Amino acid sequence: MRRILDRLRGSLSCSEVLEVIQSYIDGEIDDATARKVATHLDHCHPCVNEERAYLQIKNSLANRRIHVDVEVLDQLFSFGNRLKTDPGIAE
Amino acid sequence: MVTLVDSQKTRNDQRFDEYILPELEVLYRTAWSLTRSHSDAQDLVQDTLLRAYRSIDRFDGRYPRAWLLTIMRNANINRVRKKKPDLLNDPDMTFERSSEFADHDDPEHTVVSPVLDAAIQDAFEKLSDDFRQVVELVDLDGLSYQEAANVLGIPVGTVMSRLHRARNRIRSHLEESGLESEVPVT
Repeated sequence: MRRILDRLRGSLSCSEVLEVIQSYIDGEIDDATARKVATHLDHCHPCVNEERAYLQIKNSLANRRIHVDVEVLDQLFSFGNRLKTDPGIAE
Repeated sequence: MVTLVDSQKTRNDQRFDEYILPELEVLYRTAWSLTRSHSDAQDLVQDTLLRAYRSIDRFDGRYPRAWLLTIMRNANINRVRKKKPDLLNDPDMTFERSSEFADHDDPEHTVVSPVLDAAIQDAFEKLSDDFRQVVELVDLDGLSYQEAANVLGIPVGTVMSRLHRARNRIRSHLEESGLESEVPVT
């Protein structure tokens, strides 16, 4: 029944949403499709579960992101500036 | 007296400040993913900066990050060629990421149960190198699919396919570990 309603509304079916759900959470699909996915997720519990599953994995992995020391960044920044002022390095 | 060469250099320096230096943190994270060593990552970023500086006059000003990541990829190929083969697969290096993870100020540090978190990390470690590298670049380093493709020198479709399959493998691992109730799999 929902499939028929979806088609009538021009919205996405569950299988269409599942095809793009990972790209959706990565922000890698176009705005129009993203809006359709969001609309679908508003009323489809199984697809929300799918979204949540991938988000948990993505967020858990993001927590492994290395901490970049300010000191390291300062050193790289200084190196970058030296390239501009010391022709010996850049050549 | 300001010469033509001087004004060209000034323009190039301005472009370097505008386009290149703001990308240092992303460059360093990406270099870490490629090298898994802080000193090598630092060397690789410096090499990338040097190459970028030398060719900044040929850069069109569009997509500086993608441009830099392509430069980094080439610099890394050179670095690996020069490295002694016996240093390439040093197992001790693989522990570095896990001991230094956790930027807990990051808003993406969301609540994930410790058991689930450990299982996800375990599954991540078990991925093949090709899969793990793509996951690192996108989920840990925050690169877009296109940027990851530039770093690895592979088509963007391959990045997407490896990434999605890698996450599905992690999900399968969670299912096998009896954690499917925490991560619903339909």
